[in-house]
Formats: sequence, structure tokens, C-alpha cells
Amino acid sequence: MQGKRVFHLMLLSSILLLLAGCVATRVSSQKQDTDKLVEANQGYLLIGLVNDYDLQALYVWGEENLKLTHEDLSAGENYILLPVKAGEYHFGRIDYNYYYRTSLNEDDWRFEVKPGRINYVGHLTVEQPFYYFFANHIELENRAANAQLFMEKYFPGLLTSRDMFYAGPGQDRFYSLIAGLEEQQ
Amino acid sequence: MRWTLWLLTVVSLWGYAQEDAGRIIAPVPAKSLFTNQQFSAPVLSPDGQYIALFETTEEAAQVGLIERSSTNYVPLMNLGTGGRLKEYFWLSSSHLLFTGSLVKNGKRQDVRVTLEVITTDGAVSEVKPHVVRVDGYIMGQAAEDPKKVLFTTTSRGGDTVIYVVDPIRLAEPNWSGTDRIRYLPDDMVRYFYDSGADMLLGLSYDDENATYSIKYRKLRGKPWQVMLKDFNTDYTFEPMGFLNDTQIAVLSDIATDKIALYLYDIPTATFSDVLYEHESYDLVSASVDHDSGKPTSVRYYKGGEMVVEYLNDVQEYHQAQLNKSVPGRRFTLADYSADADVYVAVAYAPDAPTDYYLFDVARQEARILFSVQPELDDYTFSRPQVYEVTSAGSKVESYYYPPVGQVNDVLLVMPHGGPVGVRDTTEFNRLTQFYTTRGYAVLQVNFRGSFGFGKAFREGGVGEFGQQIEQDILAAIKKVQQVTPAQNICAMGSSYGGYSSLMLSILHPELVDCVISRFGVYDLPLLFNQSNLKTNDTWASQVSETVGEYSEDLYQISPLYLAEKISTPLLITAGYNDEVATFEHTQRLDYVLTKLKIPFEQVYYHNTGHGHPTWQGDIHENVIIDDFIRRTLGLKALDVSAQPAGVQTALVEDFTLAADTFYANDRVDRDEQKAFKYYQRAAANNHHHALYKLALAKLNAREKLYPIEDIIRLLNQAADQGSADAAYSLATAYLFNDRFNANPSLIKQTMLKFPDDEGNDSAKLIGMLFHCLYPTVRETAQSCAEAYVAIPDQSRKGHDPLLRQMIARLITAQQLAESELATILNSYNAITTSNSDAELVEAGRLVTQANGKDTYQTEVRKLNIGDRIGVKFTVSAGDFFVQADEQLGTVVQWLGVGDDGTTRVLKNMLFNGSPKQLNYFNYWGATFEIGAYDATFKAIKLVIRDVHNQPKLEHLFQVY
Repeated sequence: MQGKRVFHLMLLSSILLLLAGCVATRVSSQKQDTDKLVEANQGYLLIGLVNDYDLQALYVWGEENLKLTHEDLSAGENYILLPVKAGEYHFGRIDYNYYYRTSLNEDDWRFEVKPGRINYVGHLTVEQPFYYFFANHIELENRAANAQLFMEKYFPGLLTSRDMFYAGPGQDRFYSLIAGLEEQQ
Repeated sequence: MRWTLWLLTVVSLWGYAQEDAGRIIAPVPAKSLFTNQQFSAPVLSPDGQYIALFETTEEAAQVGLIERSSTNYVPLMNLGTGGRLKEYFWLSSSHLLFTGSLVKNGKRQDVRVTLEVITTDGAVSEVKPHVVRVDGYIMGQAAEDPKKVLFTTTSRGGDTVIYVVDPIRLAEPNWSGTDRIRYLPDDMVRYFYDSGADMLLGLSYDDENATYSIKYRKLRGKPWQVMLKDFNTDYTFEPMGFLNDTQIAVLSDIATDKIALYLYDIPTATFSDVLYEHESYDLVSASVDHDSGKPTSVRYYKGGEMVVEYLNDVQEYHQAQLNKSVPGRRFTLADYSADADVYVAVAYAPDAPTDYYLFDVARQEARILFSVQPELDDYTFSRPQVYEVTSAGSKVESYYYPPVGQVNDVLLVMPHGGPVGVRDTTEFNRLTQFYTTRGYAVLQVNFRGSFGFGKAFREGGVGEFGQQIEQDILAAIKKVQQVTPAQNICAMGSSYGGYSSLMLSILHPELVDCVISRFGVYDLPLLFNQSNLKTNDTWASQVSETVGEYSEDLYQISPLYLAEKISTPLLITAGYNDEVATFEHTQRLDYVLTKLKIPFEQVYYHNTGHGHPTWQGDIHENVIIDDFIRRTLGLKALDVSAQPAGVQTALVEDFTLAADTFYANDRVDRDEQKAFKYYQRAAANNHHHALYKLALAKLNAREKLYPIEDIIRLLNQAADQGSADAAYSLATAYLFNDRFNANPSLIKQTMLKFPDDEGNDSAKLIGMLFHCLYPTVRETAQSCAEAYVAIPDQSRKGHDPLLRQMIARLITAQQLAESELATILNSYNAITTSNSDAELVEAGRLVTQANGKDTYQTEVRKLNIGDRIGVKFTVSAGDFFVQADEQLGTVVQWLGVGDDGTTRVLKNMLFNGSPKQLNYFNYWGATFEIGAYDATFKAIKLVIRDVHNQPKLEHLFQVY
């Protein structure tokens, strides 16, 4: 009897886990320098990603549940640019492969996407110190200048039609500062 | 594990140190200054007969000892290049326990070994290593039995375990401790042992509240007593030693402004007596004698120099004798024998690297043991003058280093990092002396916030970024300018010093003529918002202990937000991996200055954090900083030819290293213009290595096509002056590079310039290729294949890329008979002469995408210098009977196609693989970077040939 109950609980957990994985929409980073915001309540989400090794998936929970796949998550520095619904989000989970993953708590990993603009939320850095697989150091770092340079290089058109804002943790006026410089010029 | 023991290589170290008279006045080469101390960490054996020491050179690190009786130096254990010392400990007068690491075949491994010194007729005749298999460290000599020590290790469960042990037994293969100290609490992060009082101390740390607690007990006691509970690190509390069972001497500033030595009464938790307090300076350490219950010495910095005040008459007398015997040096006693009849003394001086002396008490005689950087003993360095100014009611101490030799009339102001709790001293400083010996005056200022001048002064620096701190520096500059005025002032610093230097120029542009800001912070609000883990209250509180509270005011004192006011010539250096002053600070300033079109120079270092991981970075950075200042202020460039002959070569090597670093696209982004500037500077004195490097740089230049005659002239010049590398390179270029228009006579002439070294692999390989390619001028009847096979495998293996080019050249030259070809191919990776086919998969210009991956751009209209073109292809067996594991060979040939359709070979390379590895899904790839010479052609053509020189695949890349 006890064994049957445990089995049912395990089955339920598996189904819930499966569902949790399924409800996220699989998305991939925009590659073309064209404006793809079609609705007023949409904004661009810009994530910088620095990882020591290829990742399997990155889940972002919130107004929409998003799943980024390995094609955007290869080792090195990557940028992920996505048109998404405006609203509250947080990084939810990083899958290293089919077996290992890290769930991230909502409080430390939240951000807000505001409509009509490019919301840079930070560089998600995933480092594996001392070659120990389970000891990943994960941090969301503010590298706003780097993100600006990336957008100027690869999405100059989009940058002329949409303003960049820092939407990561804490306050930052860097984008306001450089917007002011451009106005002066 | 095996060690190489070098025994009885006897070198006398006496006499390394020199008198001041006769020292040369010259710019000290960066490579001589920015290097490890050659000798360090001398420790006397208990009987005073040996002095263990650690030696580091470019070739290897090693543990050695000096025999006191003979003064001979005996190497004990070679640790390879990069070997490190963690600690060593004389277990007896003939057993030295060494803990550290050695580097073997490029891999670092930990070492714990007891070195047993065996003597014959009073001299060391043998050293026996005994591996210590248990990991741990020695805390000190056990008070209960002086023959035993406290050995600390970690159990499998991660708990600290302390044993009282006869140290010789640690080297026993199956040693396991039996006399274990019981009842150690789980929450201790570190233990300390006061041997004099037989007291064990344990330190615990509360992560949440960032507080420490200290408990203690007798070593064999049971109940732990609380010495200090929930101690906030804002204050100092450092136990120096028990005076009795309930009282301890501590360094603290809880009750006074200065860090003083107190008698702390543990049961009542009160500071009962001040044992020593200096009226102006914080103490940095002290020692106490448990038997007498009195302090024996205290240390503090006075006028930037470390002062050891001995409160024990005997030691005070010894030190006074030493100070008298060697004028200009300040001595401290570092170690002594068990009977205190021999001392090791350290001799400090601001204008000389540290020397170590051996002091014989009975004879009252001091003899030099060694100098830590003997290479520097020949040079004259600057001796500082101490200035004190009053700034906003506080006394501010500063150190002025006059220039040595030729005077530049430039005052370099160098604010230190921190800024709170850090300080400058006048101890010998590589960076300072690099500039003083190049003619600069240097000023260092212990502004408010600096350590060593009391709590109020230290805390006075909190939140004074860009404000009172810079006012203190300004006051010090004004004072120095009154006494010894300089025409120009430049500010240069790292970390906070970088910030401060830039702020000085923003606040006082009329005063500062140039700025070098290194690894700096420029956006103060960013310090509070660096990441999601660095935005919480704990982090904010830590940052505010230095920067002050987060407020709108921070924008008014951040260089980033004041960038429009930057008008002084500026050089910024930074490390991409800096985790203290994150690279984002530099990137932001760089971005804004660029937008504002404010000129500045920059050098950013890869694989570098908050400072350079290797000396190469320091050498490069300081060579370019010196050059930046000279250019900016219109000073004369460093004249190498005017320096003493012995110094010239090393100065040339400094420039060559600077050039190499810009050229290699490794440590910094490639900058060919800068590289050439430094190569030219290095070659200006006709030094052979510099000429050779300049020639190679011109040959491989991307941005400009240099005449081939010029390159040949440089290589010949270098070879004539003794550069073997230049001779090999020229001969290789004649053989491989169509631009060189070689003939056998030219090649032979060049080969005559090879050094007389029969064992040299390069010479052998080049000779073999010449023999094969020019059969008509062969000097022996040996066939090409025989010449090839005659070269030992070992010689060939070390030159793989050269060998691949050579075989490809032989195949395309069609000078080989089928049997010779078979022999040579077989000798190289067992390649057979079977036919192979090649099929194109993809070709085009390689373009890096936003995600950092390369893709092939097939519709190429124009190729530019620096572009990479590439091809992806498959190779298959050309015959049905080819075995699956046979190695097939192909030659990948890049050709330049001229306007008239003629071709010239740009590069040949041999590829190989077996059919098992070669399938449709296993592509081969070849890339080619367009250089200045390549761009002179109408098109670049790729031809893939089989080993019989039959073309199997061709592809044309147009250059429009």
C-alpha cells in the first residue's frame, strides 16, 4: 500500500515536471535587424549570456513562459534578443543537460520588461569553478556598455527605432547618460 | 612521485651584495625589475648549521640550503619552472619538512616531503627525501614536549583533527596519528596555538552577521572559554600571545585611536593596561614572552619604514650592532637558532632590494647571506624623502622619490589603491623605481583613509572619494612643488589610484599634464548595482564602508558622469576579467569618451583581472606607460644606445616584448601599428634579436606590404650578428616562400650562417629539404629519402608544422621518385601513396555571427586584408582496395593568381587521415588569412592535391 502511494506520488511529480517543461514556449534569439514588435504591449528582452560550457536550456517564467534552447546557449558570450509580452519575469531554471539543472528562486532573479523598448536585464554568467559540475556560480551581472556595443554592431536599425533601458536588478543611469550625449550631438 | 635531487652543485653566495659605490646609474630594464625574487624565505636549522632557502629562476624553482661552516649553497630539490613554496619547517637539525608544489610536464602537483640531510666530514653528502603522505600543516612546537609538534589535518568528514606527533614519524609510509587532541568544536574555521602558554585558540565566523568569535583552552583541557564574542571587523583585535592563563596581549584599536598593544583580561572582557602605544602610528605586530609576561617587540611604520622596536635588551643590542655595521640598511631579526647564538637578519632599504645577513652573536659579526634579486645589485635606486603637510586639520605623510640620473622634470603622482585601510610604505618598490631610474620624480601620499595613522584618520577617508582625499594629495603636491618643482605633473594609479588620478585631472586640469588610469573605477553608483547578488543590503553596507552611503552625490564624483570635463591626455589600462573594478567601469568610460570625441589611449588585457597574472603584463604595461608620458609631454625617447653596454640588451628586450604583445593578438588585441613602433625602437640599436623580430613582423604584416629586399636585408643583418633564428628563418623562407626568389647559391650562403651546432633540429631539417629540392648541387650521394630518414624521429616530432610544409613542398616540387615518396610519407604518420579524392562542401569568406560562430559567406564580392577565407571538404579513398585504417594524404595549396593568370604559391600544407575517420559527416577544413602580399593578387585559388600532386579539387576566391 505504502509502495503504491509512493509510486503515485512519483508519477504525479513526473507529470508535473513534464508539464512544467511543456508549458514554456520554445523561442530563439532574433537574428535579423528588423523591428518585430507587433503589439503595443510587447517589448524587447535582451539577455547577455556568458557560460563556460554549452547549456541545454534556459527557462524564463513570467508574463510568458519561455524556453531557450541549446542553439542560443553555446559556450562563450551570447546575446539573446526576444520580442515578448511586457510584464514581470524571472529566470526560472538552467538545464545543463538532460540530467542536471539548477532552479533559480524568483526573488533573486526577477526583472520587468516594459513595452515598446529594448529591456537589457543583465549578463547571466554561468561559471563552473574548479571543474566541479554541481558547483556552478550563477550571477546576473550588469554589463550595460557591452550590451550597447553589441546592439550597435548587430542591430543598428532596431536601436534607432527603440530605446535601450536597463531592466536588471538595481538602478542604473548609463543608458540615460548616453542618450543625453546623443541628443547633445 | 619522483624528484630530481641536485646535490653538491656548490655555489658560494657570499659576496652577492655590493657596496653602494660603483653602482651604475641607468634605467633598470623592466624585465630585471618585474620578476620573482631569486632567493627568499631563509630559515635556520635548530643547531644553526644550515639555512634553508627557496630559489626561483626562469628555468626552475628549488629548495636549497647554505652550509654555515663552508658558506656553500647546496640545492636540495628541483621543483621545475613555476614550483612554489607553501612553507617549510625544520623538524630537527637534519630534517626539513617542505610543503609546496612542483611542476612536471606542465602539470602542477602538491608536494609534502621531509628532506633528510646527511653529512660526511661535516659537509652535506646526501639528501634523502621521505614523502609525507598525509595532508596537513604544523601549527607549532608542543609545549609539553619540545621534540613534538602539533600537526593539523582534515578528516574524511571534513573535520579538523590535531595530533601531537614526533615530526620525523610523519614521513612513515603508514603513519596514522594516535595522540589526538579531543573535543574540537565543529564551528571553528581555524585554530591557532600559543606554544609558550600551551593554549589552543579557535576562530569561528558568523556569515549572517559578518562577526567573529574566539574561544580558547589549554591544549589538553576540556572546557572552551570565550575570549571574544560576535566581534565586528570594523575594529582590530589580534591576539599576540598569552601572558598568563587569563590575560592575553592583543593588538586593538577598540579603546584607542591608534592600534596599540593591550593587556586584555579575558574573564572581565576588558582592556586592563596599555603595554605599548605609539603616539603617531598604529602597531602592525608585536611579540610577547610568556615566561616574563612582558612584550618583547613591537613593529610599526614610521616615515614609511618598518620599525622594529625591541623591548628585550639583548635583541635590541643585536639590532643596534647590525644597524651600525651596515649603514643605510634597517635590520630586523627574522630567525634564530635554538641557542640564540646565530640570527638571520633582514636588511631593508628603500633604495635596494632586501638583503639577508647571518649574525654570529659570539663574534658580533654580520655576513651577507644573499640578496633577493642579485640582478639589481648593480643599479642605483632612488631614496625617498618624507614630507608632512597639514590638510584640513590632519597631518598627511608623503614620500618623494627624486629621479635617478637623467632628469625628466616630471613629477609622477601615484595615489595608492583602497583607499581605506591601505597605505604606501618606503620599502623597495619595483614600480616606483622603474620610473625613478628613467628620470621621473615620484610622489606617494598616505592620504586620509590610509592605514597606520590611527582610526580617526583611517575612517576619515570613508566617503571622501574625489573630495578630501584628493585635497590631501593636492596639499602634498603643492608642498613638493615648493621644494623641488617639476615642470610637468602626471597622475598615475591603479584601482582607487586610477580613479583618483583621473579625478585629480578633472578637478585640477591646470595642474595635471597627463593621466594614467589603471584598473580603475569610474562609475561609483555601479558599485552598488554590479549584479543581482551585489544589490542587497549586506553588499551595500560593505561598499558604503569605503565609498560612503549611496546617494545622488555619487554621480557628481564619478568620472563617467564628469567625462565632458576630461581634457588631460589620458591612458587607460584594464583587465577584461577584473572582478574588483569590473571591466564594465572601463568599457563605460571608453564608450562615453569615444562618443564625446575626447581623445584617449587604451590597452586592455585579456585573461587579466585586477592586476597582471604574470610579470609579462607588468613589463608590457610599464614600457608603454613610459612611452605614453614621453610622447605626451614631448620628452626625449629613452635612448638605449646611451646606456651602459650591459643594460642595452635588456632594454631592447623590453621593447621587443612590448612589440610581441601587440603583434600576437593574445594578451592584448592585435595592434600592428603599435607593434611596429616598438619593433623599430628595439631594432634601432641593431640588436640581432630585435632585427630578427622586425623582419618577421614585416614579412607577416597585414596592414602594409614591405619590400622583400628590406626583409631579406634585416634577416641577413640579424644572422650576421649571431641570430640563429634569423638564419633559420631566412633559409626556410628561401625554400618555401616564392616571394624570396631563391636560388641554391643564396640558400647555401644562408646555411653557412647557421651556428656550429650539429644537434640543432632546424638546421638538420632545412639541410635535408635543400638536399631534396636541389639534387644537382648535392654534396653527398645520399638520396632525399635517405636524408629524411637519417633525421631522428625525436627531431622530426618537435617540428610538425615545418615538416608538413616540407613534405607538401616536396610533393608539389615533383623531385621525388615514387619509392622516395613512399619512404618519406611512411615515415611521417605512416601515410600511404594510395590515391585520394576530395569533394567541396562549402567555401567562402568566414564571417563571425552575433553568437560568435563562423559561417561561410559564399557570394564574396571583395576580399580585404585580414579577411579569412576557408573551405570545408571531404576526402575519400580513390581506390577500391584502400584499407579502412590506411592514412591518406592530401596537399592543401593556396595560390595567388596574377592579372596575367600566372600563379604563385602562397602556402602548402600536408593533411592526413584514414578512411575510417573520413566520411561525409567528417569534414576537413582549411582557412587562409589574407595578408598584405596576398591582396596584391587578382584572385586566391585553392587547390587540393593527392600525394602524387594530382589536383582533386579547385576553388577560386575572387579579390575585387
